[in-house]
Amino acid sequence: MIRVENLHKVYRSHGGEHVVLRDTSFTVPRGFRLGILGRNGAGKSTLIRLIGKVEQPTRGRVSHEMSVSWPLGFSGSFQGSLTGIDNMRFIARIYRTDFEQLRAFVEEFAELGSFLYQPVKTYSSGMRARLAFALSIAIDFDCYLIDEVMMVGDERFHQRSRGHLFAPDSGRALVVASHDASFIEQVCDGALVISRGRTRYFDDVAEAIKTYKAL
Amino acid sequence: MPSSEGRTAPAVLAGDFRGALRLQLTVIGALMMRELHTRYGRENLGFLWMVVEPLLFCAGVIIIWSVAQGRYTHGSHLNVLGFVMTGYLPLTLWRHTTNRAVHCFRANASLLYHRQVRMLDLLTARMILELYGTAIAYLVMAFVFWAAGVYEWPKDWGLFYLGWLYFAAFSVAMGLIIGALTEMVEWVEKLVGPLMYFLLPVCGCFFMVDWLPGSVQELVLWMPTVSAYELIRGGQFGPELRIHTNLPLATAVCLALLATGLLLCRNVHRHLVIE
Repeated sequence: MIRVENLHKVYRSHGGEHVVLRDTSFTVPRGFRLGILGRNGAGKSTLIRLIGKVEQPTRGRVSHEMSVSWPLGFSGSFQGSLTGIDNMRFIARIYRTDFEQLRAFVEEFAELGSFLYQPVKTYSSGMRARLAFALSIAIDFDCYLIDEVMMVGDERFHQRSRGHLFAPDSGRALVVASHDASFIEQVCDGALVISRGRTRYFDDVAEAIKTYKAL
Repeated sequence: MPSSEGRTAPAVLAGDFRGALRLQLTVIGALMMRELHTRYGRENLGFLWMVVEPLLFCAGVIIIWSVAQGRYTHGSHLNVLGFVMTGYLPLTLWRHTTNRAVHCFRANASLLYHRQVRMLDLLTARMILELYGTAIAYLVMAFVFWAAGVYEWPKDWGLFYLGWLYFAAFSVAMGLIIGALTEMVEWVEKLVGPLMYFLLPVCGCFFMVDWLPGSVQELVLWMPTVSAYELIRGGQFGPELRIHTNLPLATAVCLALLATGLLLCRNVHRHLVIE
């Protein structure tokens, strides 16, 4: 279970205040797959980072009662000047998992070949996301936080990550932010729509999508 | 839960205090390894540079000072090598911790995507590495010069260590403050160079307090590094050297700076945009 209570986030910029999230509360039970819909800049990524406890809320709190992945996306989580392998070593250390096991899985899954021995800054954004995906799947979290990375990789990679993460029997909870409504509809059990700092929860994903499209 | 082959369960994060402490130590250790890799790479000397760089610096200074012997040591019969080593190695530590702290958070912001990595861990890892580097550099240099018969080991290790402790505390405190301020205010970075330059003559590296007129003596002791240098050199040369310290003042200044640094670091996340 992830508990989000009265989450409020304000960004201060050049003399003004911008409210990104207003007093949002919800929970994500084990195995539940929550979609987050919103236009560009609506605050989807911010919400994901707040849920992941990577960013501090202005008010309110987030508590984790299961293991939660770091926010998987196009940016962050790697050191650009280090190779894929060295980044993998770092991640194995801080998540206290076995490096050799991690490496075997990632080599097989991400299909990055000799690129694993190149600095991550030379990767395309798709390759970066593939590495992040493979690593986080190898670490086996109870819940995955995913920020707009559905479209990476080729068909084969898609199918395999779907098998691991998005299949209904995977048993994993997901929080997925996307503006791709059809993906959310296929995968999620419920959805939040964010607009102008306010979030609204829908049990019925189709209805969430209708609301989102009307924005 | 279904668990496919090859996947490893993550270690439970945090938990009780001891678990949290162990996790933080693991993270700092991982950050130090990572820092060694990014900074020195795997090619040529690698992390040996950490020792070689201060070594080259000191060697150069020793050559210059030996040529000008006597002129800078006020005719006292101090061993130039001992004086330079006790002067420049702490200076290297201070310079490195400060320079490494500039934009330290920004440079590592992407690692903050892993929630067990805290802001302060990033700085702590760098500071510990510098402390290690300086200690190893000292040991290597001291051993080589001792074997060559031109250096004697410190006469009073207690004073020697105590001086280093003060010096380390001051360097770390300055690192914390500079690290946080450079993220908060853009122009602070530009001031670091001049600040270090102007503190250089008063830091105690180039003089003994005993050589100064009485009124100035009390004044310079406000700079904690002056007391630290007196202790280090008192330890190096033994009772033949007259030292002047003000430890209550040095302790108070160091603690005040450390507290300021920690408070600033607590607030730095508000000023940092994580990609």
